[in-house]
Amino acid sequence: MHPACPLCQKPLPARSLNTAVPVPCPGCGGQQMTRVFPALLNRPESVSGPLAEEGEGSCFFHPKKRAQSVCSRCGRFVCALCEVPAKDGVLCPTCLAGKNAAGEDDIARQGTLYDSLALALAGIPLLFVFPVVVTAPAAMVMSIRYWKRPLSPVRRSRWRFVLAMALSAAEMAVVASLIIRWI
Amino acid sequence: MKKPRTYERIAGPRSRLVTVHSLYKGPDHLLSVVNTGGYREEYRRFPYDDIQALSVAVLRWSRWSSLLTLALFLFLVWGAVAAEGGLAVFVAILAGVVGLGLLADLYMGAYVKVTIQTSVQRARLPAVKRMRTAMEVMREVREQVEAVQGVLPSALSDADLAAVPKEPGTREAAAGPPPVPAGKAKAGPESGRWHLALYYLLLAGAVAGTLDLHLAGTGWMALYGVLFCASVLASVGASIHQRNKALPRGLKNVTLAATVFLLGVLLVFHVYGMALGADMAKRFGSDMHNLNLYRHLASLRPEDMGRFFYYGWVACVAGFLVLGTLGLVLVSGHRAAVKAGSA
Repeated sequence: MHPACPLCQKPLPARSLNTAVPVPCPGCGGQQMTRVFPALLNRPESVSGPLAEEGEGSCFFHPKKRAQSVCSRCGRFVCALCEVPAKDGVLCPTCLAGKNAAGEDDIARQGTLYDSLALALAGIPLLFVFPVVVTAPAAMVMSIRYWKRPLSPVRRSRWRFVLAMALSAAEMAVVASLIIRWI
Repeated sequence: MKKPRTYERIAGPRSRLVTVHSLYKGPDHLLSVVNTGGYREEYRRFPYDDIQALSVAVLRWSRWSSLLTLALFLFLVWGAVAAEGGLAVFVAILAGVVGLGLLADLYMGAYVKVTIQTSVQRARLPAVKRMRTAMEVMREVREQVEAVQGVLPSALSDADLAAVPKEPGTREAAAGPPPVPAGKAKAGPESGRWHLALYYLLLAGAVAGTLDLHLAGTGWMALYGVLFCASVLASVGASIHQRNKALPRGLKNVTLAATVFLLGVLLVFHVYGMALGADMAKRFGSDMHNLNLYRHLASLRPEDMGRFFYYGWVACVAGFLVLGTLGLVLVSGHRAAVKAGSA
């Protein structure tokens, strides 16, 4: 794609690129600064791949195409179109979908923060006192159930789960002691 | 156990209305994270070997924001000089606070819009909104990208740019598309289980509430409390779950109405009730753990706030009954239709 001004989206001329300070955009006059990299000049590669000949390994998904690489998870042969580069090697479309469904952090597009949810479930109802009868066990169950789920790729520890479990255990202990006293 | 550090935050967190944006530097890509409401995150990755350009543009209203802050500061300084006594001190403190804000504004630089371009997309980086941060991000990204891609051999000319396609690059397709991978099976029509649970809970709550009014036992009140809390959770769950689901509009609206009703009751009874309850406990001792007391108070002294609790309780039970019945009828109809469709 041609580099464009972020404000007016009009293509920028070469003199407006890689400047040391912001310069006016020829289209809208707004101050902008654009740094371009060598990938801009790369041509898109054709990935159709050659046809498999007699005796050659063929792609699992396209039997007529010559195999280009091997899926590092399941070992299937894949052609140039089917191979997906990933952190742990090359993946086939099936393994990619499985990895995505499992929410593995190097490929996930979105995720639910169960640790934050459990902590909120244990903490916020304290403001209303009575809901903790239900929310404290719910926070405990959520913390245990989702303990092994992958965290957000940018979170490194499960301290929210630990805090949620401690808080909900304390709440349940208080509720139990109140019920015993009441009875 | 801590995971090894994979990402290093280079910008953010920046809060919008309900989202928080951050930008991280990874081993081979930039990661833009959008956190919605604190419980959901969306990730966009920009591999260093695919980044074509990074642009920073100063937003037009940026200078007006700084000028307005300056004008407010000067006005407050004038006010502090013109006023006398305690007012002068108050206005001077206010001017000091605004002055500090102005200094911070000057330090952080203008408000900017930052976009990143790869071979297939041009995306905004909302985590970066000030010129100072943008310059730091640009330096970080440039180091990483040039380590992977190298540097441009010479200054770009318009002839070089003319060879760059105006639209995202396309890949030549192979003969026939690959088959859709057998991932998670697509869910059938929405069964409405959350809704069914909610409306059963509401009806059970109505029964427990009515029994508590007439039998006035601690056990009934506790049961009612548990059912009420469970109904609140189920209603919130059903309201979230029903988004983008094929459910009748009437059922969705009744579920939303039930959620608003339950949250309203929770707010009124539990927050206001707790404040008032403390006062009543002082007046009537510890024997106030059931509504029977409020009912007697209401009948004996109509001006007493016990009447509020009594009729509030009746209204709450009536709401449970009406919403529960209506919802159960709708969800039963929907479930019957789903069953008939799948049979």
